[in-house]
Amino acid sequence: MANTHRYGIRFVRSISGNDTPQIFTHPIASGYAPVTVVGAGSSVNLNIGDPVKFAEDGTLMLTQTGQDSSGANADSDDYSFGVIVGFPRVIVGGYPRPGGFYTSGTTYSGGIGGDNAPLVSVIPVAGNIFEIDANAVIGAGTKNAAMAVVGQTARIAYSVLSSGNGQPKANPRLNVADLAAGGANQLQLLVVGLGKAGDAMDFSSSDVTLQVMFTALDLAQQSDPAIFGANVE
Amino acid sequence: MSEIFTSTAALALKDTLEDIDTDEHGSEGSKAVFNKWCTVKNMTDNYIEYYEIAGGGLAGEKPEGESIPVGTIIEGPLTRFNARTFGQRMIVSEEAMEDMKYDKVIQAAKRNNRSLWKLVDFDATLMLVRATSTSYVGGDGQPLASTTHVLPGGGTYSNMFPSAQFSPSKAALVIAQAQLMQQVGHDGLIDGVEAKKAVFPVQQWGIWRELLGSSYDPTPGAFNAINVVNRDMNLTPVPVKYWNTTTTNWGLITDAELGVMFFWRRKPKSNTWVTEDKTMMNYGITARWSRGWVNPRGFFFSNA
Repeated sequence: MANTHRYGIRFVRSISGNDTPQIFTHPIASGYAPVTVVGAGSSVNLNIGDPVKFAEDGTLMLTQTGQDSSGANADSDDYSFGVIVGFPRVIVGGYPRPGGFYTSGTTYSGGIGGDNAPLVSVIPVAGNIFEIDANAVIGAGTKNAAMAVVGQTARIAYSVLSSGNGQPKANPRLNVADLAAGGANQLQLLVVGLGKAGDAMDFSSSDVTLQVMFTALDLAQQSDPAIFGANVE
Repeated sequence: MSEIFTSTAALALKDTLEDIDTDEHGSEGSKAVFNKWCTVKNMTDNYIEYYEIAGGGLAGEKPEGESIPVGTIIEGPLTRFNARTFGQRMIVSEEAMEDMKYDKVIQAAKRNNRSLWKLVDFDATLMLVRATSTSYVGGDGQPLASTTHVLPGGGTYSNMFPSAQFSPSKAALVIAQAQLMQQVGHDGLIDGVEAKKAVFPVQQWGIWRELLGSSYDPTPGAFNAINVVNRDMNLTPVPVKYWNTTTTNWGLITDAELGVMFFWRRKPKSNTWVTEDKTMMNYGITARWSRGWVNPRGFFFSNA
């Protein structure tokens, strides 16, 4: 039986044990057109469950893979700041209202501080545990194999969905091919357990759900750039 | 996705919709399938245990003047059922609660109820899915279906076809019935058990309907013969829609005590609370249960 894929990165619980996570709400730049990979990839809309980073201009943008930077922050993917949980304001038919997704390339007047700027609410990845579906069968396709990757790290991989409400959707999933012990900085997902469906999942199929934490965070106030750092463009 | 905000279902913020297309909710427990093929019981402790004891086998002839032969009892394995806790919660913003115009959009408590009752069935069905998996064994160290279940006094017995596995047919059930008629007891002596229910994936519903419903042999070329499955076995069909890892396996539930069982430690219990500083509503549901088997004679399996 195939597992039912559930879109995006989903909040499960917080490290601190809080009932509910903190929410950060920030604008999206006028005309912003999310693309999954730097210099390549696919144009997508922003959807609930997508990871985002600070664009370092007051706005949020999709976490991109394939960044290929070097130096102290040597990473080949963006560090994520948070995961989208809602859009309190998007422009629909020329007027603002809450929406389930942000349409790529939405332009508006008044700047990011104006009343027309689309807003995106995110759950910070720092201190929280999320669920994400694996993009392939894990190892031998058994429960034991899935449990054996707990403690390993992996990248986010996008497999764009061109159907469904909010399409095209980035569709972030855990890249099984990357799973490794230790791992480089760009392997920003640390697997900490199986998803809540537990034994009811089909481990011989893709989309087994894993609980993950983010190891590399877009949090500039931390001092160790190898672990916490601003994104280097 | 993980929390429900006004933007999660933004089109329901105004009274413009004719209806909401969503899953039906209500009486989820009454739609369950597991209780049609598992014996459902309650457990009152964190874990419960079953202990197998076998008697001394056949009595013997006592020649005149000699002592009566001595029998004894032999212990088998202890089977322990640990209560496990399952649950789900949904987090809904106060704004979403206030502004959603349609009851059928959020209905967090009902959706939780559906999620948990579905999990009950999925979890119970894992016993069928894993019937021959040596990673999931019972007290005797064997999976639910095995040709080498262990007798306390030594030796083994089987609760599945010995080698060739059969699709459901009159011939297959005749063979299975004969094997069940000679099923051994805990002491290894032929005892016999009686098949009561047939459990199968829903893809087999048609053939089971023919097998169990026809008073004459449904086998082409043998229509004049009586259908002994219909006339003598009196099986209750239980299609298990959650058994979706196979279309060919099937099993029989017999009248042997302590076969496949499901234990409620606590039935689903809902609660709600508010995270005050964020004005977020939490809707939770949890239940505790365990499932498994003590006596594999309560089951017969075709690994077809």
